[in-house]
Amino acid sequence: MATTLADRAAQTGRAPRALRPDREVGGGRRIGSHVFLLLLVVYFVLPLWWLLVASTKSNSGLFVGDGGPLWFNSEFSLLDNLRGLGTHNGGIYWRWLGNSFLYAFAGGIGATVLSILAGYGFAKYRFRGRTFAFALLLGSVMVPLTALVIPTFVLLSKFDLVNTVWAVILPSLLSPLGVYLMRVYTQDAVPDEMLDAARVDGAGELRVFFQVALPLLRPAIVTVLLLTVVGTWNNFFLPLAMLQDPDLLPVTVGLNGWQALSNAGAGGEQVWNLITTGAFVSILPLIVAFLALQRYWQGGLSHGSVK
Amino acid sequence: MRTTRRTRGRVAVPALLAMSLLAACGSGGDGGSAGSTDAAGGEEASCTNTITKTDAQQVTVWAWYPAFADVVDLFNETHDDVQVCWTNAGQGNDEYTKFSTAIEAGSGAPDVIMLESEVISSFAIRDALVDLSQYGADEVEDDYTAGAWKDVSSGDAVYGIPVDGGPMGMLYRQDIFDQYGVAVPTTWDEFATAAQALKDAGFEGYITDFPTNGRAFNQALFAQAGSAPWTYDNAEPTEVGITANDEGAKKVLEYWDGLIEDGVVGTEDAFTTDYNTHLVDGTYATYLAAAWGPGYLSGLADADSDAVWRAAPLPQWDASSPVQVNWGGSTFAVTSQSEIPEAAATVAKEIFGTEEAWKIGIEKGALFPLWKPILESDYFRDLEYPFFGGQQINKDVFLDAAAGYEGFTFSPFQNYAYDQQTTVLFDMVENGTSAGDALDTLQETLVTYGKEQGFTVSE
Repeated sequence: MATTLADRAAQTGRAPRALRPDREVGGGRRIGSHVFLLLLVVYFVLPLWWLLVASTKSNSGLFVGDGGPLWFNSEFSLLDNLRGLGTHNGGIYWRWLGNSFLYAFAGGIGATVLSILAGYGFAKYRFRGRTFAFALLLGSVMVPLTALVIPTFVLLSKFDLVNTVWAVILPSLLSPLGVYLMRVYTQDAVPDEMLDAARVDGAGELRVFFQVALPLLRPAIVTVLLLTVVGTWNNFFLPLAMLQDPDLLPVTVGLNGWQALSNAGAGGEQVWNLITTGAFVSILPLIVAFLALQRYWQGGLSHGSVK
Repeated sequence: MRTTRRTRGRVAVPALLAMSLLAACGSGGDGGSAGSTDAAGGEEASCTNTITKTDAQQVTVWAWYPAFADVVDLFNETHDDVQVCWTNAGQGNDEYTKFSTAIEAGSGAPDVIMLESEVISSFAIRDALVDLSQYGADEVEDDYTAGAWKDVSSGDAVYGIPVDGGPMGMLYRQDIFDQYGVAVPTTWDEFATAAQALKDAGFEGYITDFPTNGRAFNQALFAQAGSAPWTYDNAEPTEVGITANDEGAKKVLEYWDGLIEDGVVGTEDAFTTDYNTHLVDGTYATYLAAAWGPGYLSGLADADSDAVWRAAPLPQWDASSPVQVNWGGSTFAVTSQSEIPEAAATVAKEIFGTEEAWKIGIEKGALFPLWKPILESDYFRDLEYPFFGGQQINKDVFLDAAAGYEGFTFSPFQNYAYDQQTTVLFDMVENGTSAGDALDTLQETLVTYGKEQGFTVSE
């Protein structure tokens, strides 16, 4: 589905440009691209809109409401649902949300710190085995974290860390892509001459790193931070396999558990309304994070390409 | 050259920083799990319930029913030497994923685990479950129907203690049948006639849905016509008999294929939003359901206050010799990682072995008991269900269905078999493959897979 749309998008996007030499009037072209952009907006926003609408519906209202799937029902249950999130299973939802924050920030910040250090090292120091180590790193970018879950589980169970918060945080600390981005960015954004100048002025390596290089790397740091935080926040399979204790689950796995129970029949506990509302609440922090950090994030993305 | 050398010495600093950071995390982990009670890890499993008798032996249990909380408390109150430490590790596949990971790793599994009977063989073949016959399973055998016991057994071995079951019946919308003047069917012939009659009378929905992803549901319907696709005994774990395209399966699938072609049966995937919507908004006139179906349905009971739901026995192929089938349900098994299998077996046998426990299960969990003392009690037989207008659905439908169920042999690779079943059924519904061809394909795929996995396959 996504690929076909993307394909179509590519075609539609190219068509007006191909016409450009023959066409003097720009109006038609602009309408075409606007329609195309509008379609994209609908495509991307519709699921979010659905979620927003669904989070205001009661459990059965989700299925037989008078508003249909894409509009509000006459009955507005958002507040009830939020209250339900606070009481269902002893309000465990908020604990899940807290866990997600913990994992995302501990994992994200840790991965960012390691990426900065490693990326800077790769970019600015020459040491034996660097090319090989970097090739290894590039290779591991291709290995999805999911494929490593079972070996990681075996490893961590040897240290008795399974079913603890560390089982999620430790594997999340590694971000090959982050290291790669930091290296490429450091090479471009931090001139060797500048570092040498600092060294000539008598600065030690630590001081060079913290006071000269680090400020220049800020856009890349934010980019990597966002990538790793979002990656950990959305991580599903790792906590699913690593954690059994409901109190330790992040919100993704917790909500999935509610969904399985709602579908299970026996037990008779259907909480679809709490699932949709819980999902809606759980994406709010990410939206806020993206909006707040948008400036740095965009700078980080485009910086390398312009250079 | 000189600079390179100098920097090589200095590069150790960030690397050291990184390592000390990792080390800090590692040691923090040890401190965290040992220090706080609610983030305990590894062997010191944390319990969802509170255990007051801390001296007693603790048996860790994974089970997913929310109503299980009260059952656990009851067990712990009434036992002094053994206490249950309960974790809800997720329902069905979520829990199986964790269990599989733990089996691979060789540690991390609980002592007692809730499993659906259909996956027992798949785990037993991995040596993940303990044969309970050595821990007195036969003492409680008489407490269960023969069919329920067969579902947890493989040859002479017993790999689980039954908990709840899913004998099948037909839940139907009395108001819809009345409105269009159609009689409620008791045989599959009548069912087909009723389906057409409803449509002819102007009913815009379908008599029911035949989901291509129905998995265990579809298999139960096949079994009602005598389909027994698997021959398997865990004592001979490398030998499996496969007849997925036997006469029973073909007869049933051809029947449904006909109804689908006539446009009188829906083909919505089960457990989707649309399916749920159609169940409660009057699109489906019947819901062919297991005994846990009412619990599922009444979860959405407030959807349509005009709906009049009633229960009837599942339609029969031959009314003079009815065949009863089962869909779903759960059991308690003891894992081979347990270091206290005896205590674990005690928990598996006794936790749902009292009337009090079962009243919680029935009233809070809408479970259908397989434990005879409650199954055959007046209390359960006469129970009135408000959702069905006070109908005694156990007496009318499900008790007979449970008593008549003779058991089923599942595959040692049941999950794969279900996936393939979905594939061929989808092909039949969407691409017009005939029912016979679909099942022949299924048979071929399963035999090939079985051989690839190293089984000696007989057809």
